[in-house]
Amino acid sequence: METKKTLLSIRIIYWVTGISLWIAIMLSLLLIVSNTLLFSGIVKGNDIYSKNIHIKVSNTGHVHPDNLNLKLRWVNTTNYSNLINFNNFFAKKAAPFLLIYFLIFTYLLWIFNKFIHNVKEGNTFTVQNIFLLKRISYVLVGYWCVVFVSVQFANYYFTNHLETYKIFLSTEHLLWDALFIWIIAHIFISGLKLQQEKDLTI
Amino acid sequence: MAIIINLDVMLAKRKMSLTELSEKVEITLSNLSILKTGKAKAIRFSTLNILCKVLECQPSDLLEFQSDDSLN
Repeated sequence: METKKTLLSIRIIYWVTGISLWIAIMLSLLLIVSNTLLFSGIVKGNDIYSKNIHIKVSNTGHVHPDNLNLKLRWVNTTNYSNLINFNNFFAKKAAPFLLIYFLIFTYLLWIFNKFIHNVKEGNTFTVQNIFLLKRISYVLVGYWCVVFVSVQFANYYFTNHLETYKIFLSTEHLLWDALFIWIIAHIFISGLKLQQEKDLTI
Repeated sequence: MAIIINLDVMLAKRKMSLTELSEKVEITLSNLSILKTGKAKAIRFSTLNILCKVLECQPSDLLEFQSDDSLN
């Protein structure tokens, strides 16, 4: 029986998607744990906070290398900066959204992984692939809704509590992606019809 | 479908099994089954040619047109 050799690019995409999926699953699990710890009160958002960077000017002077006049300032710095400086209130608002983002993203990767697995196996124009592509486009629209709502939500809280802060996040590309994938799904429907005709031509 | 394939009739006339025909025409058994059961959407001239050659018949012996009214 003739065996079809899968394209190298498809195999690479399959491997990369597989690895990305596992990373996304791990991150989602980590976020579930951190959400649980945050909402159960074991960990507080402001447990880890940063201190300001202290710069102390101790001396100033001039040096003249190669007839140049350079002004020097000696400073002492103390750096206690941390990456996380998050108020508990904001942490509790942001963490669930972050979890939802990752869960949807992981689900999208899982669907795409199934699709690319089918393509790798040579089953490109199948009913299952059409359903998978359509599901990707619908989930992308859902993802856009979540991002849109969360940005409005964040803006509401930040403008209420920080006054000057405003978040602008471009999310329209998700809708374009969804539309593009939906069109591809319909191209696959035509592909499936041609495939069936080819298979039933003896 | 309006076009009927009388492959089973010709096989019976020639006292030949589908497996035997499959070996002679070098078309897989599954494809011949599709043809025999009328599930095929199209037939290639090359297939028709080899079938007529092996079964010693004319295309009209294999293919028959029946109007939808006569089928009902």
